[in-house]
Amino acid sequence: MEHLIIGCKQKNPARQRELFGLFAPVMMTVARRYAATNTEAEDILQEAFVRVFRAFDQFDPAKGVLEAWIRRIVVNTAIQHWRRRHKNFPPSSEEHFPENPVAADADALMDAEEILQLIAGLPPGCRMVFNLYAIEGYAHVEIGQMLGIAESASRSQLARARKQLQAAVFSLQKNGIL
Amino acid sequence: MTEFEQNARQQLANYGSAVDTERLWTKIELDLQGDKRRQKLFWFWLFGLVLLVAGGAFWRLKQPADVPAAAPQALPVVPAAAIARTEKQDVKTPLPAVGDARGRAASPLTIGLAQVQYVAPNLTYTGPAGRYLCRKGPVLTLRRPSGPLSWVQIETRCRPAGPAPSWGLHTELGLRPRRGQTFVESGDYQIGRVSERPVPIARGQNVLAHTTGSPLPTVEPVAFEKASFAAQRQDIRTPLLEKIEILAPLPTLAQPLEFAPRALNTPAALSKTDCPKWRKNRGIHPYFGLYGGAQYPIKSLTAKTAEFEDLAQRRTETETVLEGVAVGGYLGLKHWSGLLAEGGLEYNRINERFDLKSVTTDTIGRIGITGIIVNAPGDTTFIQDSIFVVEETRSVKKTFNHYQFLQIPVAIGYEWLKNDRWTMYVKAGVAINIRFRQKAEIINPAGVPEKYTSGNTRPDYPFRSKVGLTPFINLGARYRLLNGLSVFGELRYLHRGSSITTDLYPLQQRYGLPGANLGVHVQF
Repeated sequence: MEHLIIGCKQKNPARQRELFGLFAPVMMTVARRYAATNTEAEDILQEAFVRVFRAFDQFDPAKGVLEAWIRRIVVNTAIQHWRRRHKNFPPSSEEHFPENPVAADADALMDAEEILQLIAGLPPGCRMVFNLYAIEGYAHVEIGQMLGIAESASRSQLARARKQLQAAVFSLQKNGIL
Repeated sequence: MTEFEQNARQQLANYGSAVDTERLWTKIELDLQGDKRRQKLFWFWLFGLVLLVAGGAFWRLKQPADVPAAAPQALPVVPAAAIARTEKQDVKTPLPAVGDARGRAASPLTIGLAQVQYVAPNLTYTGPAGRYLCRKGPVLTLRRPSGPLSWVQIETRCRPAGPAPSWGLHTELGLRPRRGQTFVESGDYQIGRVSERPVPIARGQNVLAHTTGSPLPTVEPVAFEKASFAAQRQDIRTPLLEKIEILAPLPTLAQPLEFAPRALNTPAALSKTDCPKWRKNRGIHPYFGLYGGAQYPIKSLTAKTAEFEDLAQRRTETETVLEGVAVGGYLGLKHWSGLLAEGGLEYNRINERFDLKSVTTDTIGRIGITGIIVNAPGDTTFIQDSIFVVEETRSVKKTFNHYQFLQIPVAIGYEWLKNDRWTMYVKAGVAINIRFRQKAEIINPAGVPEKYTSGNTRPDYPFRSKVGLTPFINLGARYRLLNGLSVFGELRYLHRGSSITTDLYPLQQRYGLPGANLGVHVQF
């Protein structure tokens, strides 16, 4: 890994290519979580890696793991991508969703691809909040700052996402897919 | 956190999605190469700019040092009746003072950065030579109190010498005076822009010539007798003549002019009353030049319809612009006012590289060990069977493409900041393409590489034989080496906005061509 970091800092194309090959599949999963389609995910991945290589001088191995640094750039790129595409965040609904909905029994049976497809089916705003809260582990205050929305809107979007996911899982169970 | 979320977090933590890394990497590589191109472009322009600035600095350093002005002498105040006698003065005899504006200007009022000053009417105009003769009426001058860095001047001026005296409101926006300009703030008048440009002098006019090299408005008075002018108008041009001030013809001096130069004492070394280099100005000068330079082409490939966006993408990925070169010559005419018009012939070439990366995969059958059975210590059975090895061969095909243009650039322009050595100019016009040749290997609409060479008359041949008009703009500086012979450097942007491909071809291929030229210029 060290030779990769040194090579990328020196902007060596072969090392950059190697680093991209190493992290592209995992980062593609991250990008897919935030994107509605695979094409959008590829766009995010491409833009993110261009930023990674442009800003590689700023990466300090002493301060953190390379994968986490790249992941953060991919997430930030996805947020910016989402902001460009959805300038008007849907206003938070008046309705209140329960904070802790009932868990679906079949969750444990689902594999990563199925989970990604379920997440991709969420509305854009819900998908962003769900990813940042449930997968990345950010708090609602932080999500509000990142997306430029109120904390209450973040909570509302999360509740809506959970409700939709629950409905989707239930639908799959009902059709015997799970 | 729900069970679903926990499960999702675990499942997705290190899950690798299928991704076409080869294709994505090509795109990323193109983006990163774009960075390098932008950086190169920046340095390219910076280099040109540094050359211009360095040239300017070199010229400034090479200027002769200012000659300290002699102490001003008190000027005798001559009664108005004496003015009439100036008509017959000898060249070497100083003109008498005819008054002084000092004391007639109100004290300047400073408001913020501006300074407002009311100047009494009837001052002799001392602005750009030959344009007006005197000031009439109030003068409102806004200046920065820190000195003549910039100024806005609004004043009413008249032209009493003409057949019909004319009046007009004159506004002037000035910048920091440069060397060669005598700009004096004395509280009651200013001497504005000066020029070496030939100044027309009407028969019978008195002329004050301000000599160069002095920071003060030391004035060398030169009176021209009527007899010395053979024609109605004559032009004066001499390197020592920094400013020509034309006074009203004598008959109009019944009322005394209320201005006189502050000092008429010119150091002897600078006195040049005989003006040996006077010559007749022809008004329009022919010139020609030769130049050559490099360009940094910016290429644009766009699909006419969405179905060919893939082709545009593939061509963008496989074609790399290398550089452009231009050589040419021009012929033109320049008016003494600085306006110019020219035409020429130019050869322009854009070089590119076509890279096609291909990956071939072969599956080769070999005999290999597929299993090991350990029966007992020392008794091992190896099972051999056919195995298949996949061999991947990567190859890169490189072809150098070029596009050649023969064109007639036609331009109009303007020269300014002229002095004895340096001239800045701007030119703009269009290049009329008369011939377009190409030798290129590109991805064809069927998706395979194909070579195209000029002269091919196939109906699906993608390139035009002529590419129409191309606008351009040049900004440059010229340095005079000898009388009439100069060298120049210029920055240029040529915008090839019309596509070089035919109407039937599904893509439009355009270029922006920033560049820099060096050349020689001869003016007659």
